[in-house]
Amino acid sequence: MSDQGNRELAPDEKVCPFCAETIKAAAIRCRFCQSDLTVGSGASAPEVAPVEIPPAPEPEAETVETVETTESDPAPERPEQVEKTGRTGFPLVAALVALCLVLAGALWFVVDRARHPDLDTAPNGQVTQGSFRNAAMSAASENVVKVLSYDYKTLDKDREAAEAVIGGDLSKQYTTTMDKLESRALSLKLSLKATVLSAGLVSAKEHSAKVLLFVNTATTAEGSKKQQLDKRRIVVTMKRTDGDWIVSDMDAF
Amino acid sequence: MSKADIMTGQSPGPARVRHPVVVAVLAFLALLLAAACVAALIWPTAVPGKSRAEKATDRDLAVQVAATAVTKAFLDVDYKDMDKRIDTVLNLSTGTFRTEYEGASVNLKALAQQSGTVSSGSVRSVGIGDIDDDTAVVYVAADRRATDAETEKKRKAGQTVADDVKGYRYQLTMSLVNGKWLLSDLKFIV
Repeated sequence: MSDQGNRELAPDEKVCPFCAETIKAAAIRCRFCQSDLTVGSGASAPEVAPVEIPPAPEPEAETVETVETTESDPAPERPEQVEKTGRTGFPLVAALVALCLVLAGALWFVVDRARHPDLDTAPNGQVTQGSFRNAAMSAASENVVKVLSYDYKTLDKDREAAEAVIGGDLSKQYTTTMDKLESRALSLKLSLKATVLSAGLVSAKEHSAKVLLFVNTATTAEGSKKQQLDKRRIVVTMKRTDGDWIVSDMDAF
Repeated sequence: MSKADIMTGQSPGPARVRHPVVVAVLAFLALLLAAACVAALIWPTAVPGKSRAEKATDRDLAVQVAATAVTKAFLDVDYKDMDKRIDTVLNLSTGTFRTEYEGASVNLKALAQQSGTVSSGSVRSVGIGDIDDDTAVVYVAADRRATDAETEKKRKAGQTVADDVKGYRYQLTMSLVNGKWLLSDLKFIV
């Protein structure tokens, strides 16, 4: 046991916080108990160092206070040191914890979205959502009826309606075909009515779809009792732009 | 800067990290989470297990394959070996269709042998109408190319006679039975 209780500490001394022995103020390891004075207690060498520093030639009031506090009672310096080091460590840990929480939330969102996306889409791009598929099939049925049907009385209107739902190369083909057909339709007073019997989805992606349609077409000439009935199988290829389905190809066989 | 630093004119050293292990673990965890986010964003299959859409696509494909196979089997006729072909159709079907086909198979075999029919089918397109976990309505556009004894007779006589090719429109109802999609009903769309 030291006799620290019987004498005051010298300016270059301090009390070990672990064994209460008097040691040098600059010590970073207790020579009695071998405790590391830089770790765990919150103390660190650079912050202990000021104890050794002699007073400046013209000390300020604050400096005097620090030295006096150290000389008379070294213990109060420890809470101050803990507070100083705490300011350094805590915000970093807190920030990292917050970052981890945010990233965990983001990961949960991304994974959940991948499992339950707004539009059920498989990795190969196929959309399997019932409403989307039904919309594609409905659009294919309606559009094909517009493309195939005509009446010599409303030919221009029918062509406009058809041209509004077709795009790409099919537009040119349609124009060419209708230009050839127009004079014949007018002279024979022809009309064609298309009826879609069945529609099945061949494939559906977010911006394209293929639909198999079974279509019956009935061609009649005004005044004639005869009617030409054709049973068609048509694969309609469509593109989707701004939510609207446009027919880009029709393959009848 | 501490009072001692002011007094000695020294600048403070780099701030010490109080809990280096905790900080390191948290930093590693943050990096791991960030990498997982990026992976899940750019690579959907990084999410373990099959998504609902992926399972539905697999189901659709299985239905299309099964519908194609049974349609081709249905159109496959050879008067010389009907039993094998009838068995194939029966193995790919169930329910109402299987019962009706099995009942008609004797007549079918007799008709094929009587006419000397040989035919094969090719599927042009398959579209799925309605589908759920165990039932699907499928539309099939198929062609049937056939010859019979009469055709062969004309050919042998030196005449040029083309195969009879007809296009068909079928509505197939497929049912999932013990993990297999089987034909349970067939209708001609006229």
